[in-house]
Amino acid sequence: MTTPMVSLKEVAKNYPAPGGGVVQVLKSISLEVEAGKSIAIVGPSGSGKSTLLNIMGLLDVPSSGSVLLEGQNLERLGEGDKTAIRNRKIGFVFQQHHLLPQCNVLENILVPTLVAVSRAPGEAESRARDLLNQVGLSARLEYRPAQLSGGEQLRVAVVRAMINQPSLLLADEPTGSLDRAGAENLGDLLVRMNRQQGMTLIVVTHSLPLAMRMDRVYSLVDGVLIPGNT
Amino acid sequence: MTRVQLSLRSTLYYAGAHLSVLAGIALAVAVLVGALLVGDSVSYTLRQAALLRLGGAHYALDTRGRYFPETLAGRLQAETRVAVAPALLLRGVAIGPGERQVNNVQIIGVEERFPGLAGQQGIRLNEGDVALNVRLAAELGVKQGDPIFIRFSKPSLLPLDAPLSSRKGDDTTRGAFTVGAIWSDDQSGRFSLSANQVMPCNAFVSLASLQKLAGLDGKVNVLLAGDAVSEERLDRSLKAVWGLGDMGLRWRNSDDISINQLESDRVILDPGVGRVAAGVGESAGALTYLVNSISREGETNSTPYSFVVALSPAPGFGLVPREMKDDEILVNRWLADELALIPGASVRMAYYEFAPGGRFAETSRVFRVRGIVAMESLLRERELAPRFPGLTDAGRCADWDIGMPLDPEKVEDKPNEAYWDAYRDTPKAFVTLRAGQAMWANRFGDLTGIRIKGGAEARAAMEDALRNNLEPQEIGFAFMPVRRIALKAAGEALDFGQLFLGMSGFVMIAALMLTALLFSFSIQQRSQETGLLLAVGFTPGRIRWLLIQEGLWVAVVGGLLGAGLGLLYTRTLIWALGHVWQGAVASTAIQFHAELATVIKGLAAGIAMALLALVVATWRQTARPARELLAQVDADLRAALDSTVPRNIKPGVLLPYLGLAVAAVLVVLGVFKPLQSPAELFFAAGGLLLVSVLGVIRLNFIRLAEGRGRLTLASLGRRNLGRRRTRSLTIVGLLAIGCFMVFAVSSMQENIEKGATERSSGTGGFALFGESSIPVLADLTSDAGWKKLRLDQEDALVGVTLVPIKVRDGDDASCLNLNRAQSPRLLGVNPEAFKVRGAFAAPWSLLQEPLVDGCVPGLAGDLNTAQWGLQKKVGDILLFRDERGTPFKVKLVGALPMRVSVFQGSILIPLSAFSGRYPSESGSRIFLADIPKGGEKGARECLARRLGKFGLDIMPAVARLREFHAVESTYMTMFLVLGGLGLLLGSAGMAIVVLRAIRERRAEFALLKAVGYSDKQVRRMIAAEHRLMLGLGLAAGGISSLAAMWPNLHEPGVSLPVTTMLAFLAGITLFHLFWIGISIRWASRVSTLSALRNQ
Repeated sequence: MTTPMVSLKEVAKNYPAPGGGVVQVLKSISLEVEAGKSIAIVGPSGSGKSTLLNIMGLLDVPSSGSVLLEGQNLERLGEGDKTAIRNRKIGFVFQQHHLLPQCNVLENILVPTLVAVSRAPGEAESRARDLLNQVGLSARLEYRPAQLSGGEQLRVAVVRAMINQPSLLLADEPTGSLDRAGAENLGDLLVRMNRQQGMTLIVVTHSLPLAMRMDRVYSLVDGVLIPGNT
Repeated sequence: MTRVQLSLRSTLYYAGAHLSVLAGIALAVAVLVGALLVGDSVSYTLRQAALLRLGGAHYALDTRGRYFPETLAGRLQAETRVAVAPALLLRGVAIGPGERQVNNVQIIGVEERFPGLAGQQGIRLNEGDVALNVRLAAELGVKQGDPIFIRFSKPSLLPLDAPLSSRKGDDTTRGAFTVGAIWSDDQSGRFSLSANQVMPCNAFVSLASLQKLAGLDGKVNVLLAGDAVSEERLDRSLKAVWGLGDMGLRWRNSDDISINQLESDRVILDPGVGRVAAGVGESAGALTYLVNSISREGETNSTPYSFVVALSPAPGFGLVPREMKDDEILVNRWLADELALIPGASVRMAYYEFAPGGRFAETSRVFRVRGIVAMESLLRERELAPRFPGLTDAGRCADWDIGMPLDPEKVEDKPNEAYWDAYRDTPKAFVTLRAGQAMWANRFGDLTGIRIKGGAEARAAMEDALRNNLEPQEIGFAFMPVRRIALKAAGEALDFGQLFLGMSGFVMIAALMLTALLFSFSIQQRSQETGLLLAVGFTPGRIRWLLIQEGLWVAVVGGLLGAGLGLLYTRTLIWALGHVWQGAVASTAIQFHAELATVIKGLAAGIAMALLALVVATWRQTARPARELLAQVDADLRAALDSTVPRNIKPGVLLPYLGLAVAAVLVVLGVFKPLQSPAELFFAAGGLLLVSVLGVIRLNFIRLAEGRGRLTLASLGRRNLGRRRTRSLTIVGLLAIGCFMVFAVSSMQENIEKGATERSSGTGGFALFGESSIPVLADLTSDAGWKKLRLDQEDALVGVTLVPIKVRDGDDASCLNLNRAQSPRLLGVNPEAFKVRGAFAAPWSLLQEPLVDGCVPGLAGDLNTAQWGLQKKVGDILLFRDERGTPFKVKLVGALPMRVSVFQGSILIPLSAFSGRYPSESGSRIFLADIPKGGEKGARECLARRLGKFGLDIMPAVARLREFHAVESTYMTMFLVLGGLGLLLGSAGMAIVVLRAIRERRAEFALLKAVGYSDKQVRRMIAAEHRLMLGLGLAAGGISSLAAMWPNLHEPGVSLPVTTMLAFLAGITLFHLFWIGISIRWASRVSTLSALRNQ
């Protein structure tokens, strides 16, 4: 049996409530995502989807339970180790893109490579150009984020997430700001990356069409993860 | 809701954001108001000091070396109905218990009318009592009831330098007194007629006691008058009431009373008297002189020391007939017999010419004997012979005591002694007045008597003529509006308000720049609101006005707060001037004083400047499309996106490089071509360099924003400088300007002692500088003078030479006097004495060349005297009055070419011109000593001992430089402290910008952390960005300051202030690193997740 890419074991997340007590956002969630698979997590706003994604991406820590990445329990890892794992193994696509305004498209994509120890700069740039070509932005290399459309910005963010060839790609509402065609194109891109690169893909989305293109779909309702149809 | 209400609501809603803006405005206004109020306080203090030192006196008649009857005061008061008080003002020394001596003391003889005028009521001084002012009492260490001595040079009616004057004046008089009272400032303790805020040392004694001690019964030399209409009215009244005695004149009659001779207490008549007398009926002038010898031409046999009378050849006035020629002489029978003279014989008369500097040069003239006068015919001439104290009252020739050098052997000539026994001062010969005046006229005058014929009527006519036609000024009687002069001197004093404004300018600029920056931050935060207003139809102008209105409320509140803080700032500065920076105000206690008008002026100016800064900050933000504003694309980012450095040559690119080139040319020009005032050129070059370097940095920021070059972790940080280049440039500019000012000014710090032994330095290479309270009449450049004062007997003085200088007291134009000198002190110098030594490297020969315009050539004591004390430049004219009241001009032909010299505060004029204008200024009061190496201490002690009775203050010349330099040095320190404060403010600004930038970029850092950047790497990136900003600021300021420093570094005693510079650099760097560290630490604490969520 192969080691799952991500394993969540009874993960819970609580926040202090304004009037005292706690708000349980995630309630004892257990989940295993095999390497190379894609899953979608859907649910209403405020259901904790992004929180769950952030916990899986090591940006947040659970109140209880444990998170394993490729079988490694991350509970006791320091922030430095987590940072290194994020750089090496995890790619993020945020709803807001978070592109650096002072850098052009190519440079934005290369930002994660600046701290990657194993990759030669020339190789990273060549890969970036290749990926940009794949997403149809080869003509926009010198453009600044402010000069791109929302869809283009999102594609840059996706390419940036993949530049270090992560084994896990996490996407938080990637199509939230796109129209239907744009959302379809992005879905194509993500699925293609998942299939071609073999990277595990976890998408948090409101978009049912996008969710349906994943291997599995989970619904997060009242803090509980419910498996849906594949 | 009105637009005003909207702006008020917005102001209140964003009160938190406006707090920092308000603080910036408050700081700027506080600095502005505070600086102006220091000016108010200094002006007030000087004005108060001026009023206290004069009390109720508005006008003063100060005749210095002339003495007149004290009764003149009463007559003048009756005529003018204005209070007039007489006083006898002398200069001397006070000696307390344990022989503690205080020099330069004003000894003031006063009677009951004086205190009323000088501000004190109902205090009388008993005979034998002395009232000291607080300063003198403190310096002597005495209290009421203690005994003290007062010593001064015994005044003489005849100027002590006059050829036939007795030299007993070299002796001083000492009187014992008991301290009866110690008078405070408001009890006229500060009384002085000179415009200086420094409290003098005053000893007040009863007028009668001082007159008795000085041998001047009933005489005074000062009249103080209350608030008369004008000095002209006083002078007119003086003419109405004065008489012969007030003019120092008297009648002498021959026994047959057919001839009345008008004489002066001063022996030699003032030229004005001669002028008036010449216009009154028939009169004849007489000039009596003591000649060295009379001999038959070609023979050695001679008679020494004979009185010869020069008389107008007018019938009935004497023995000289109308037909007598100027080369003829009448000799008395005794002389004819002594030298076997017959009419037609030639005689040679040898006599002393009175040369400048009090020297005598013997010369002679040949006459033909016209006739021989019988001894019996000389009775009238004997009766009319002038009385020379020390000469005509001596029992025998050997006892003569006169200023002229006498040959001891000749003085004891037996036949001459026999003549003296028999005929006393009966003249031995007569020449025409013209011949006599050609030989013996000197700076004191050319007549010893004026003869008229007739009785009381004739005398009355002459007296009337004198009263009516002699102008009081012609004999030194001129009322001066001392109160007006004092208030003018105080009013024109160095404006400390402007000084502190200049020094605090950088703090103010820094505060305003930060205010603008903070306001633009606050507006940027509200860009959506601005966009919304645009979207709903507000014009950019209206929005701008709304924002400016908000700024106005903040500026008004901040300004009011700042005005309050300004009062505190003033008090702090005044405290510093009293405790830390006393040197800047010559240890004057400055009183806090605030004029409401000044506060309002400062407040209005501060608010206006703040508003201007806010308008600039608002302009760019509101001139953008609503779309951008709603999307919260900030102005800096937009500018970074839009602007690129043009590839082709454009003025914007060219200008900074052009500036660099011009600055370089100026520096090269200054280095290789010596200029008149290189400091200004280099400072301008440095300033231009600074602006150009900042321009180049700006271009580079644009390039950084363009994102050229390889992307690295550090370059990622650095690019942010270009992204926010307005704020980056503000901080770099603040640091650079602060650094430039601090470095450039610190380079002006001069080590005054370095090179002080050089002839070209401010000491002139002289080891000692001495100034006496009592003039030394002996010629200290001659062996005779040394012998007289027994200096020749001192081993410690072997090889020592002295250069004496005459002094005409005036206002101190040095930096120790805060008042503007109205009539500076004049020094009579012998230029040759300095020229041969190469002392002071000054253009001494300019003092030796007569000026075609009739002006007296003068040199300012040093560059600071010319520039600050007098605010005059070469070629400017200064107006003075000679001791007879005649105005004369001194043209500044140059200045001693150093910032500080031992002559600071004075004007140097040639001795000949000095003596001509001030013949009564007898002796010398300043001495410079050349001393063989190693002998300074011994020589100083010896001179202090030997010349102690003259109240000689003698000090190493370099110590005098140090006293003056203390003022400049304190200014530098003040500037450095206030400049440093500005730098700290700049640093605080940088801290705010760092914090602000980090806050704005939380999401960016969060993203970097999300994609795998460690905290350390993020910190390194932020640090690289801010370290570069710090480095650029310090480098730009430092490099530019080097150009500004260049000429100072070539001044003697100035070197690169490496320690100060390094200390500043280290301090500022550490301060910045601290703030960067704090900001980064704060940034690290921001949760990655919340930052990403809150984008």
